[in-house]
Amino acid sequence: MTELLTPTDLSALMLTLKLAAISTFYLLLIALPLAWWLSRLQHPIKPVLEAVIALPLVLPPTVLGFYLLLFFAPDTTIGKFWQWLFDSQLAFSFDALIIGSMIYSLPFVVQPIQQAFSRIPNDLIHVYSSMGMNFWQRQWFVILPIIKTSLLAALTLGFAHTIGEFGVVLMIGGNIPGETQVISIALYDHVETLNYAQAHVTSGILLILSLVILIITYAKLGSPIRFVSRQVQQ
Amino acid sequence: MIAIESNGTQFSLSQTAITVVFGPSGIGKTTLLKRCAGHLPLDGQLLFDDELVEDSNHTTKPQQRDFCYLTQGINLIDTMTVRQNLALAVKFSKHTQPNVVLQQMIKLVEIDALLSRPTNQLSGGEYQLVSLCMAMVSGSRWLLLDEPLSAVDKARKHRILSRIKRWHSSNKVPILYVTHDVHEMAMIADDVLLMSEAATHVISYQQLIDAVDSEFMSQYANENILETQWLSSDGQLQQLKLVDTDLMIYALGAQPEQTQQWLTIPLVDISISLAPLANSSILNQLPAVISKIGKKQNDSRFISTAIGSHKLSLRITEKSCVDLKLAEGSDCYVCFKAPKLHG
Repeated sequence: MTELLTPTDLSALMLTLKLAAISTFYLLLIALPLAWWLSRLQHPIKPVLEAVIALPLVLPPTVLGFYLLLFFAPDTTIGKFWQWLFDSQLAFSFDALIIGSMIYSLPFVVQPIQQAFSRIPNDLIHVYSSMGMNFWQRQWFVILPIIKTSLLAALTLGFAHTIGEFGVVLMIGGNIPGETQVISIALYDHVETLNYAQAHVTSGILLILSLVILIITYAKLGSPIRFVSRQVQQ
Repeated sequence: MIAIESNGTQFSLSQTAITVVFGPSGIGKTTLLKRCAGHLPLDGQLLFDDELVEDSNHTTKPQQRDFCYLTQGINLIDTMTVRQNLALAVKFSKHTQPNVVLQQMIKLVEIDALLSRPTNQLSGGEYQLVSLCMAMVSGSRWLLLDEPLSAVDKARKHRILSRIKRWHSSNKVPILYVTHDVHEMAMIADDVLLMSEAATHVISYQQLIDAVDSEFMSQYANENILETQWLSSDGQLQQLKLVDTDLMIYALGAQPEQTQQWLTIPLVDISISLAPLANSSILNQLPAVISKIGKKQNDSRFISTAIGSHKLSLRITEKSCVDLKLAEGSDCYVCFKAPKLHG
């Protein structure tokens, strides 16, 4: 592997995996309460919120990246706030990539979990609270077993989707090796410089990595995509 | 005593009884259960054994009430097997030896064969039995059961109800039991919480069926239920013994798998005779004592008779009542054709 990959490519690959892992983890923290809330929400605003969350499914990632770039600029409120909070610039940083990835992969994580939550009637929760379970015990012993499959599907999809990210990273991350250069950007670089041999290696790695993740997911969980595609069709 | 004041009505329940909640659909039986369990605000006051559970200033959380609430619908986690669901009930049980209780209850509701089954592959009746098992394993101090056996077949329902009744007579945990089925009520009720538009009140089951002229009896008393023991078979004709008596009853149907059998006999199928009928095709003629004669209604009367400890009600015309000179306390024979066995 070390002979095949240049040090830059290797660091791009590691950065990609790190980005996918961190953003999936944060996404999980946000998606669980958000999906629960949406599954219980009965308000005319609900379809609007669901549409906003589903936007990254249909929007060109460059559009998303463009707006994020504007929002993250050092002279905006968000940019200034970030500067004040962490004493570092948000735009073109790894943190910006994490935030961008989270937004980009949000529907892939929220939708399967929301679907699973909406299959849990309030009555069922009442039964188990009457049996003496407190809030956290109900989450662990009742809700988790019900949503387990969907949760795994959501995490895998979120992770795999983030690995395949390009447009958003290109817009808000730039191309800083070791900081914001992910493997898909490295590939783009290789093609631009007509370095096809190296492009083959990085493409091949991305292809195999994505395929393996999806094969494992399908083998273990059935088709996770159906959760998302069903939502899109509706 | 359990004292409840909810939404303008007030009543109290015995703390050792099975109270059947009976009333038409939409009258608020499920709502009452949810209020007691703490899933809906009571709009009143709930005292359990002098302990204030809820009033306008204070409410105990459902998980701290130690009441067990079973819904009409979904009670189990459908991604787990029956055994895993029951294991969860054991884990949160208040019994000192929950696993021993679990084994007893599995036998009581006859679900031994279902334990490895995924919950989503149970039939409606099986689902209810597993749910009921879970509730009885919980060891809660009050069981709130919303139509727990409505989808279970009659023969099995009768067996299980009589076992629940026996189980209850030894442990006396109060049960609030919602049902639409007068047979279920007849088999299990100590007391009845009658809910109607006009009033909600508690009455003992005995009082309820003794009031032969009440609106309840004229509306719902259509069938009798008799507990019998299967004795012998002659093709499709089965001979059964009325329990606690030496009286024989013939019934039609295949030879039953269980000896304990409950027969349902519609009121309109029963006639009265002052002497045994000779040369009659009617197979069942049981000596009885007339315990109550109802008021004249539409030129007929409701008559309640006693056969040992059993009760058998019937309805006859005013003309028959006058011609036979029937009086409370007089002897007679109740006659009915061989009823069908439930299997």
